[in-house]
Amino acid sequence: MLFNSFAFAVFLPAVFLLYWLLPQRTPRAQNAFLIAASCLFYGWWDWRFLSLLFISSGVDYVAGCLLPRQTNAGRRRALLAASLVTNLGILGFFKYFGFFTASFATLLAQLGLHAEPSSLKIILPVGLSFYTFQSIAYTVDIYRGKLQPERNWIDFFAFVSFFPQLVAGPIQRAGDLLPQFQRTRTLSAAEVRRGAEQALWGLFKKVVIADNLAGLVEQIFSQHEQLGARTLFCGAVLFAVQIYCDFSGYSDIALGVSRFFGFTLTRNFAYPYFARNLVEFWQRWHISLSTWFRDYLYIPLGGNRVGAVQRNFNLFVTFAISGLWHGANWTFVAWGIFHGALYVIYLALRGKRTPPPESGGLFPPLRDLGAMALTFATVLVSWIFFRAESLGDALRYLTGLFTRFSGGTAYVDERLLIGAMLAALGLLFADWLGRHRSSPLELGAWSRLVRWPAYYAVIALIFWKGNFQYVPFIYFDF
Amino acid sequence: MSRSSISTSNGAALAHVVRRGLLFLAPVLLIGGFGELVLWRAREGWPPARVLVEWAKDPRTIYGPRFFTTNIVWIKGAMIREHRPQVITLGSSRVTQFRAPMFGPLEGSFYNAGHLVTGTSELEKVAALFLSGELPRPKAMIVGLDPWWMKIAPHRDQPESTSEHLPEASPTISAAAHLEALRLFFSEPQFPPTLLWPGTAVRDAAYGHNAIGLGALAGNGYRRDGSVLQTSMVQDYLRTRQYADRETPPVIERIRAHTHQFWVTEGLDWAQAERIVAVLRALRAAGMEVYVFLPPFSTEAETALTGDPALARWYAEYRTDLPQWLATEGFACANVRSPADFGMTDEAMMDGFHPGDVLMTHVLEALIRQAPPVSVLASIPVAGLQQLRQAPGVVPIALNPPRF
Repeated sequence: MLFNSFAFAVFLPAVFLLYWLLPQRTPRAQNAFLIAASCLFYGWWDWRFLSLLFISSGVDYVAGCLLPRQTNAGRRRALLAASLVTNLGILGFFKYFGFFTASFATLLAQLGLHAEPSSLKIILPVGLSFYTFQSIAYTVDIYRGKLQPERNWIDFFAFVSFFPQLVAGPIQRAGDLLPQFQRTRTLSAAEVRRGAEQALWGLFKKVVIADNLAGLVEQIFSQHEQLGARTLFCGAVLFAVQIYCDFSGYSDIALGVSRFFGFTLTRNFAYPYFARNLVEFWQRWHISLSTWFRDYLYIPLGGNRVGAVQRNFNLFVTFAISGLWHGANWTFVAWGIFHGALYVIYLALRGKRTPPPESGGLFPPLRDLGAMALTFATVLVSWIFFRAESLGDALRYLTGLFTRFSGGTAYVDERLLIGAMLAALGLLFADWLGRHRSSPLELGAWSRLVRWPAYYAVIALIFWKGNFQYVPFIYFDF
Repeated sequence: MSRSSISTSNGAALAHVVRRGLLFLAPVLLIGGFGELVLWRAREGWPPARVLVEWAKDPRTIYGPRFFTTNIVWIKGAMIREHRPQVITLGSSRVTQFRAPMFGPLEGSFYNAGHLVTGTSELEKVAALFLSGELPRPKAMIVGLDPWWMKIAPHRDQPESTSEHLPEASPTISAAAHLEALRLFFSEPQFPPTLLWPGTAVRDAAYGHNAIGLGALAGNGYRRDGSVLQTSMVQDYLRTRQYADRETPPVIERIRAHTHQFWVTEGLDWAQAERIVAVLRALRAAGMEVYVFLPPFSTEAETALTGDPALARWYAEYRTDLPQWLATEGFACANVRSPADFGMTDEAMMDGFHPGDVLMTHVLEALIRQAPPVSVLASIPVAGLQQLRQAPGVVPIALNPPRF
């Protein structure tokens, strides 16, 4: 079920009402109800893949319960391995099988050997990359002794399958979310309003900005070889805004909807395009994934405790794997490596200096503005790898961007392009104004006379300008 | 602390949230309700089955929804099942100007299934319905083939046609469709205000036909024979007596910009063409007479296509190699480049690629002349078509223009 679908518009109020009408002496009935609602939400897409969710979380539930009882280090490692093999096995098979067999066949072909890559058409189950990572983190945290296992299976499954964040995150840590399933929740009108504000803003970003930019971005990227540098630049900017609005829009809806049910999820985006360097960017973009890779890959590899060379290598590996997580394509790996390389270079140049805190004023200092522009330009180049069909495509796009100043032969509607750029800039401006709040629409402190017209204006924009064609969230593919 | 942040019991809080939510949504619901009222009064939101009943009562009824458009697949299927036509035209909107009166003695057993097919896969799906018996087989079928069904895709996957998904044939209108219709309605809220008065007859202004839908009120929609009445375009022509590319965006702009159906290609995709010819062979093997129609462009659009290096090869293969292949396969084919093929000007075109019904009489005549002596199509007298063209009031774009 998509957040931007009619089915969800019916599902959400129904689930909300029933959830709060349930007896609340203990949270268990509500948790059981949430499991059922989450199964319906997920099964709406394809109920068969619910089995993967049950297998993944089932193994982690059992491993989690058994781990504290084991004192034998070997057995503990075996339990952890069972969790990792199950989750990464499922992920590897459904997400990377085709990629690796095709890559292997290409490699053999270059060695003069012929191999037919598997013709298995494997569907990528929605949300797989997210819930397997959430499950892995749970077991690893218990293994490390940082977390007590959840022995009540209802609470545990409700945590893993919680529908607002099931299919595209934010990836939650058990330490943050599980206690919220264990306590009795109370309905707060203020929280519902905050949630509605955030979800409404997320929906606006998704259906008005991201989905309306999608067609133009597709047009530019599909015929980039015939387009001039100016259009290619606009294409890259528009994709940057599209993917930001698409994914942060989803995250905002997830966070907002969770508030309806008395849950607070960890923030996933913190206005990343206002970052003044790459380190800041990664503290603001897909925060739940960045911190996951930090805690469960980078730190186990040695983290900052090792020498500079080893640390840089670890960073590089972490970014490359993070790139591969996004999709089974070398373009994503290149995207990760690009970020990894620049991140390492930035750390080397920065040395021990830390940038001054951000100014909170309406107009940033010129120095900050320059740093933001430079960071945005760097990220822009990386997005070309992310969006391109192949590495060759990305390089050709970049070549065109820096060489084809005389214009191109293909046609892109100028008015449409200018309109899209203005919309993109408008969105960034709104974000700038609201950057000290969780969303620009968080107007809780304002009078109702101001708030309600603002809400109605956003609803009207969604209604009139929203693209309600079937445009799945980009991160559903990851 | 504000009152809303105090949580007493969840029941009281829930009642408070629901009350506040309903109060907030009240204006939205009121506006939405008004839209639904207009759509219902215009019969836009009528169930498709009721359209069939209305056609049975009054054959001159025009069905022209502006917003609930996907049900036409179900309606056309139901009409074919009900009337079991002997001659069917199949294709995109570019065949929808074949009309029952053109078929003389077969007038009552003709049905225009145009608009059902906009690509190769859809053609395969619809043909499969006839071959499996799910739809009754006609004796003759005229199949219109658009060139964009057969294009070599560039380096990335392109849709093989503008719309490759046969819309779900549904006899109901979903709630999501209602929401989308409301959205579109409020984007362009045009309707005759008298519509809201109870008892007002719902008829189109140009012909006085019984109208179903907001499009039909303006004289645009499907006739009972499945053909399409395009009053707005004809009225536009009558105002100026000149050709205009009335498509949105104009076809000539699409060609120049390489957008919509005219994205750059290296040539005709013969694998797609083979799939299409396989369908035609299967229909013929099932006992149907199969005629092919390659629809025209305006002279202006044709010149642009032949002169554009990025499209010329594809278009030339469509116009020369494909008809040759069809001829070797034994299919009669009306390969109409432009109205000039019949000594007409672009005035005979609705826009850059939709021929008007006068031009279609010529197309049908060309097919009849190619038909075997003993065939369904050969039983249609050509003189009847000539009479239709020479009837009083006929203008190049339409056989029966509205009074202006």
